[in-house]
Amino acid sequence: MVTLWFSMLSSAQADFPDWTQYAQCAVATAVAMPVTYAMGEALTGTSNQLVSGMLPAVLTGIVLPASVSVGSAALIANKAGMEMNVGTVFGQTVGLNTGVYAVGTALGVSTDKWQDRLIYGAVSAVLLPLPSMLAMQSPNSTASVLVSPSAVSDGWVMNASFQHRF
Amino acid sequence: MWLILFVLGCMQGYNNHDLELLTSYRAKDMCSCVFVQGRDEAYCRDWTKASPNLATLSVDMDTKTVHTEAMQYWSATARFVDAKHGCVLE
Repeated sequence: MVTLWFSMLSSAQADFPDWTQYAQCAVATAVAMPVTYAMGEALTGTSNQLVSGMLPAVLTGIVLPASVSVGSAALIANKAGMEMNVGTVFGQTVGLNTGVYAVGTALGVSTDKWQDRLIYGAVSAVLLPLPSMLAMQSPNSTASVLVSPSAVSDGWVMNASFQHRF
Repeated sequence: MWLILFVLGCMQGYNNHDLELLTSYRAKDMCSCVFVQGRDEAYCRDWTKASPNLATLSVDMDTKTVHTEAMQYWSATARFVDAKHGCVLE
């Protein structure tokens, strides 16, 4: 007997979710930016020492937008039935936002200028959802066709069955 | 007794944050250097550099103001008033 397997979808994985999901995540991040600025400014006077006084505001500026971005992406992924490794993506997003923050600081971004708030917020909203979007993927699914020709008295009969695992 | 007071004094620290001091100092000194002393901007940038060098600054020659920023959340602006009063922090 000859058995033929046709693998139709060995590993169906989406490279990038649709743009609606990306836009939802970007909007959530953009909404978080004014909150981040307000919290950061409120935390500027926690200590008069350089490092201990700087860390609460700086960490808020880095971690809060990343958390909102990854959190909203996780909700979107869950709703769409997609998989995402939240821990890994959170680390990547925090790393990315650390770079964005460092570049913004080097360029002289200041939260007391509304133009800077607008541009920095927009750049963050565009960039921060990217690790989440790239990490979202459909669960592994396979589809296959089994064709089994078998000899009978007056010729051949082809038995075929279709299998799809989600 | 004096040692205890000294230790308590050190623990209390200053009222101003280091980055507030840094941005305010640099804005005021940069403004004075450029608009009172009349030095060129490049010289004053080098002369007012503090350690750690966390403050970035911008000079507006039209409005005679200097704006400094540090770590996005700390900033200060100094404005040249006149020859008698020099530069003041806003």
